[in-house]
Amino acid sequence: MGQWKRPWYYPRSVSGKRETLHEAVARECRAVREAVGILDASTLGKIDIQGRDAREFLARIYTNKWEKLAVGKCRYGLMCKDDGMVMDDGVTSCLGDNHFLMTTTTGGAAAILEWLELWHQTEWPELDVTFTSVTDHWATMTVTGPEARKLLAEVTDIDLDRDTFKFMDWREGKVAGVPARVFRISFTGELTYEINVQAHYAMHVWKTLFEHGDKYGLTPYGTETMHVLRAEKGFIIVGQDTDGSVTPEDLGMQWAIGYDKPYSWIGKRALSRPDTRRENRKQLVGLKPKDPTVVLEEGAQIVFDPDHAIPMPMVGHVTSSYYSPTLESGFALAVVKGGHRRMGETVYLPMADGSVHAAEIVSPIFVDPKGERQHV
Amino acid sequence: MSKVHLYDTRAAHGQVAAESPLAFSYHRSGAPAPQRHSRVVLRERAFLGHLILRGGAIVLDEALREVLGFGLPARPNSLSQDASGERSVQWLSPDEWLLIVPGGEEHDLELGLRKALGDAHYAIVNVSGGQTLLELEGPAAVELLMKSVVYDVNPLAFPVGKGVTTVFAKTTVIVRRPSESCWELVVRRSFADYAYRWLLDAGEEYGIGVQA
Repeated sequence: MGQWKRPWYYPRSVSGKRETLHEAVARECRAVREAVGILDASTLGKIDIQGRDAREFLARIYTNKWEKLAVGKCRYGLMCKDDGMVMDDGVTSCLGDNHFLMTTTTGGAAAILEWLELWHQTEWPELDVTFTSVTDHWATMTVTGPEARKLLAEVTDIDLDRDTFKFMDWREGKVAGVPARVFRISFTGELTYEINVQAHYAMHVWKTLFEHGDKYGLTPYGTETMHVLRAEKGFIIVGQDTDGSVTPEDLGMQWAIGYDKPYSWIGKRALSRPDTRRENRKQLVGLKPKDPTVVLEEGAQIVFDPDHAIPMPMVGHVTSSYYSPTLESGFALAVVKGGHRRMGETVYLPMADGSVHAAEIVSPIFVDPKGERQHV
Repeated sequence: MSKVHLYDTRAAHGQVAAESPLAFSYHRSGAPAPQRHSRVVLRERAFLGHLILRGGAIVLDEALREVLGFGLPARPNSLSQDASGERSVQWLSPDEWLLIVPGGEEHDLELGLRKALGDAHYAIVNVSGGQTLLELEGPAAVELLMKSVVYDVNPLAFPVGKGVTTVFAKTTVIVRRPSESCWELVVRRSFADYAYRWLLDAGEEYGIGVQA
């Protein structure tokens, strides 16, 4: 991913036979949904932001609001380029009134740091704010699944009470005897603790978690399982589900746009252009193949009428597609023209070999649509 | 000061196993002991305190003099050090410096600097877990660097006290020359294995040895 090498999956040998990718991913997905899994998320881009204008800077760079984010809280943010198209996303946490920790996509970290410096140095030098990469300083372990709290409670002095350490909070304390910062943010939709420690101690913390994790079924998972789990929740990956031509509204993320902020922010003006307000823009939807054994091809073109004479008008494409062991079906994320108003309609995907798949347009959130599992 | 959150991320010494950015490299690529014929010796100075300072040169210089007893380097691409050579400050960019101190001093030092800096606009960020310092010594150290970095490290062009950020093979490192005989590299954790294996390979013809 980006320039990083990351574990794709962790195959086990069962009676002398090594699991396939498909078998390993199915097992890893079930572990996270039913027990507890762990992901090495250290590659996540991390930028330390300090200064008395840090909060206002964030609100100009991100599409959403940051004025009221309290110390101890985390918030998801979307970044647009000046053309109004989504360029990055991530969670930023308020460490102090003048102090924030921004996370970026793994592949985007260096470019985002340059982007922040560019806007600060050329457009808003009057703002008192500085940015420093801390990606390599912190190692990050994501402990996620219904048993995550029980496991973490065995190795930390942090109070994990569900009413005091809530979803989208962060806390500090010892984990496995090491000073740690723990974030309750979730890319799987399950109860999740993201444990951050100075990277020197990462192996010690990882091993300690496994010493305690066996009885809870602690299972390491790789990037493939991470992708399946996040797609089941409709969580986008910038650069996979977006391609530089997708606005926040195309993603159905109106909730992450603060049109009434007291000052302009990057992308605001572009988002008022007639073209970005068109109703038949390609919009993010879920696709459920009519045949549950079908896993649609990523990049496959979508048409409304498979009987149309060639060339058929192409109305979108598949951006992410996997088999879900939880749904026991293939499923996909896709962009479809006017897709948000077409829920329940059937679309078709003509393949190069002449076959045609049919799929229903559904919500991109396939698992736990109310988000209850990450709030427990 | 209270508006920036401070947290000492260093674990109590000796209580938990710590791994330097090169721990895996030693394990996988080995560490050939220096021989009598070794013309370059590599030594990792692991677990030092690394702080990034951002802000105006005048206020930072005053605070450093007050707390550490020496100030910022006077010119770009250079470093200043205390008498022991154990503490150094290197210019990185017009408002950015790297402060390296013995491991364990960094948090108290940050507290002291923040107190001295008061309401000034500045930032101090602990990056100790994210990078490590490698020393190269021996008659072939310069030749090894000449093969590895694009910057001109000829001692005539690179006097003692100079320090630059430059391209090393396919990554980026900081190169510095704290004394006549010693060259230092500061490498990021995520590129440390790459840099180490490059140095072993490029240093083979000089009989490179690694001093634990």
